Amino acid sequence: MFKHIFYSFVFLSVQFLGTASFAGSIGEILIQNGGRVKAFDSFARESLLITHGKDSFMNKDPANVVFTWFLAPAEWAQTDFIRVDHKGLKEKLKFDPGQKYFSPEKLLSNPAIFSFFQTVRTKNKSEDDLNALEQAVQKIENSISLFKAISTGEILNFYPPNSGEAWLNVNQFEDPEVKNKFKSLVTQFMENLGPKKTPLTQAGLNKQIQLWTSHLAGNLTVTLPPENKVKAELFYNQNRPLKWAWIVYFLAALLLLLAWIFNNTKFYYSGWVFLVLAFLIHSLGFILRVWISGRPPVSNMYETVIWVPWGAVLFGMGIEYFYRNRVVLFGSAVSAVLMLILADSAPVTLDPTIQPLMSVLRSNFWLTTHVLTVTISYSAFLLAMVLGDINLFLFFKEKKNLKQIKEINLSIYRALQIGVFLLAVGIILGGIWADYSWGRFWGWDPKESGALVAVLGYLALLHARLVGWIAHFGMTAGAVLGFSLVVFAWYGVNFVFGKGLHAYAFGLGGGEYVAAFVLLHYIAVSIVALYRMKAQKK
Amino acid sequence: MKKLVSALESLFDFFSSIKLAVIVILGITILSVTGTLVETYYDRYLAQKWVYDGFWMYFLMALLCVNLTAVMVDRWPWKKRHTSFILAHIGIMVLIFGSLLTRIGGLDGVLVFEIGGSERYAEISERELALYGSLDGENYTALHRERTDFVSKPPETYRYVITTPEGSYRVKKYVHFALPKEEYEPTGSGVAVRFLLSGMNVQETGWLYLDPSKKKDEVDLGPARLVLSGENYKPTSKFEIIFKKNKNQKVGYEIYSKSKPETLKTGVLTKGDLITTGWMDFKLRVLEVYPQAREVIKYTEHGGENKFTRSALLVETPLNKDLWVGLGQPLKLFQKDYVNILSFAKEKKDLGFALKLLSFKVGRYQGINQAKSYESQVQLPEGDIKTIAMNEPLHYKGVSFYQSSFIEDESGKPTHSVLTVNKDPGRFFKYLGSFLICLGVLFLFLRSKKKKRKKVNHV
Repeated sequence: MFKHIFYSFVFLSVQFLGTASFAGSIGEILIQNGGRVKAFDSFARESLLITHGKDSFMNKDPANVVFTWFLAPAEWAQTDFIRVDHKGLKEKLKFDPGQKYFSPEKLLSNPAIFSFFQTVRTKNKSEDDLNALEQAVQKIENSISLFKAISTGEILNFYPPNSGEAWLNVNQFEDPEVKNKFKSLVTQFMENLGPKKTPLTQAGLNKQIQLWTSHLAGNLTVTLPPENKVKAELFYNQNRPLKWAWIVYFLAALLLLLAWIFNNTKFYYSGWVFLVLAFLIHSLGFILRVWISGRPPVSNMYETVIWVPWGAVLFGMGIEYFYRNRVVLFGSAVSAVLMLILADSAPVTLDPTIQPLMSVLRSNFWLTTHVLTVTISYSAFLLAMVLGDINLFLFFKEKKNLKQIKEINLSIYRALQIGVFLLAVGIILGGIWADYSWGRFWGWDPKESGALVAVLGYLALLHARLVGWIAHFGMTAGAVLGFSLVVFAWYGVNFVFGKGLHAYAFGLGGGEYVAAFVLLHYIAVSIVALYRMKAQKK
Repeated sequence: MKKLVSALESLFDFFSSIKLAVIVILGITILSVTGTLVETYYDRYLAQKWVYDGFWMYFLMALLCVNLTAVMVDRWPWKKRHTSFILAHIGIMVLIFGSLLTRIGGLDGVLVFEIGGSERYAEISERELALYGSLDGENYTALHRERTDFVSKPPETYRYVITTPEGSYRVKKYVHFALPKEEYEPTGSGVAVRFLLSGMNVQETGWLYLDPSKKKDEVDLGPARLVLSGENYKPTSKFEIIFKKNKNQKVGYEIYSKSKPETLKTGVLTKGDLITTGWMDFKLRVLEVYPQAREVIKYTEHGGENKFTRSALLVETPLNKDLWVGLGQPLKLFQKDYVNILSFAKEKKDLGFALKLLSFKVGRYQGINQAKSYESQVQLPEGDIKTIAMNEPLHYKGVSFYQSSFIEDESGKPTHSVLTVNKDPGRFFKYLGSFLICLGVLFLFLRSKKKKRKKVNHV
């Protein structure tokens, strides 16, 4: 029943929003890549993300860009589009450190680069850790080999085989009909490119795409992903519901801030409306993603970064409903804006593309449940932290604001309770899953230890409150600083201390920003603490 | 007497205080963070030895149990409002008790078997130092077996000595991350050849070593291959150079090309020879030939873990020579009329029965090499055939088997299946404890809700 409603919702949303036109782009044709069949548009965006660091190139249709790598490789080989960030590496290669993008030819003609490639290969062979410079070298090598594989057509797997699973790449087409159809598609694509483009050539391309797609569908040896799903993926790629979500959350946050400052009911209710709207868009984006990937929604860092604020808004709305202190709603909108901007702005670190899942993570009820529970507990802690941040400001006029401080602290306390409850249950569910799947309940795996550290830290906080060791300021400070434990468990274990069984979520980068974020909170709390000490002395 | 009572009272107050609870909680937090850091910068084994199995962990767990018991006694007689508090705290203790049972009587190991092979021993993470002896070189008896922990008890402070009539073995040094390097000496029962093959802008140099117990050693250079073999090796249809020891105790060579079945060239190797192969411009330079060779593996300390590092021991032997023994790399020592094997290896536990791996299947994602799922077909001693797959364990005679990974050869063909083997006597208590904790926390919520209805603000 639930599944039925879920799919109806997805279907209706796609029908409704899908009427927007994305017809006539080469991005609509299918490609087999990364373990699934997907729209070429997705493949093109992923390829640009790897090489160029962004999923578009000079605001052009990504599919057009990447398709021309194949059609005009010599020109692209001389175009500066491969991103190199590491300053030290650029210096060693005697490149202008201010230059961001380099052409494949420029990189490959550099006399020093091959010895770097060699070092990295040797280190990879013995599985030694790569340092930042070597990681940058590795990135260049990956980018160039991806560019080569596309420009030679080697991985443009556009047509299903007669037998087996691996699709044929464009060089392997043998059936004359397939060859001809592809040739006309390419010809029409060229006709429609750049200044030559007219409504007529566009119509021609539309027709060729349609012919190609229906020819593919006529091949009965393979099951293709349903047309709606492909459309949903194109829609998701091009319209970015999660970006819209944060924009609307931002408006909601503004309205709620005004409502709080001016104690205005109109602003307050319109804030609610925008928040709910943003929440719906957020949910839609999330559901689309689940539907496209066909798997639990929290299997990599990016997905948790969009899932956690969803929970924070949900809890914020719940707490607001019971306590009506207005600040909670503002806090949850701020949490959502922060996290979704983060998800939107760091595509290289937080990979938004949909990749195949490690076998251990496939279709398992306990797995999904435990990850969802643990990560949604982070939502509660995130909300508590943002509320704590807000409260820190109020402490500058403590006497005047005492009532409000107490109110916010009550919300913080509730959020922490929800968080501790969910995290404890989540850890236990994780134990059950580990027992069911690996045969052991607890193994001090870094991710397990990380989650335990977070729950213990917050438990210490709640117990310290019971004894009276901490009062208003302690609670606020605890909520703010406690989040660094969540950062440790959520980000640190995977990105900084990359080891252990939860290796599927590992990634690299962003360390300095996260460290700054944590440090900033420590500084803020210290400043307020010092200010209070001085004020009390007076 | 009064003094004693009041002293006991204040001791009880200390143990039943929430302050102690906060300290213990923070202590466990710090240990967990430390453990994670140790695992990150070193490895799992060290984290286990230093932190998770270390003194402070046991101490804090014990202190936590004392604290929880005392605090519950202190609240006696219990009232309804104590429900969540009692449930959660008893739950934690039951959980800790379950973990203790697991630690004492549990088994957590891995079973690695070849496809088609049988295995009855599970490897655990503890390490064993053993010495085996044999008169005929075929039947060995264990002379000494000892579970060792060189991390907590390093050989610099503890003596590890095995005494035999021929003299004694003493562990001098333990290196946790050691990088092996093979060296060859000209006296022994094997054959070793060092070569340099050059041509077509390619240069490849290396050693070939044939141990008497093995059939061949080879270096594959893509289209060409170098093989050091025993008597019965048949050339494959490749560009191939075969080295063989002949009756005169010299090492001969045979060069084959891809197209012809007969040899292009044969001869005897001498150090320094330059042999033209007849394959385009390829030449073979003989850098060293030892018809009676011995492989010696030496270890050097490495900063951290990589694919090739393993733990190693430097051992003083009766041969008046210090030798290296790597983890899982037993050392054979030939004495006048006696053979010793010195082994430093992961301890193996006998399951009491053997499983046979009939077949192994890997499902891959379409078009790429990433594994999507995999499963082992095993045969039980009684003959029943069972499937063990991801999330589909086998429970047999109180032992559970989980599909955890597999080993594949260079061509990507799976050769071994790896199962996690597990026996957990504490399982019931862990589930019970978990259930009680969840129930307790749930009650806490129900209570706060009720309180709110009564408009009692307890914040």
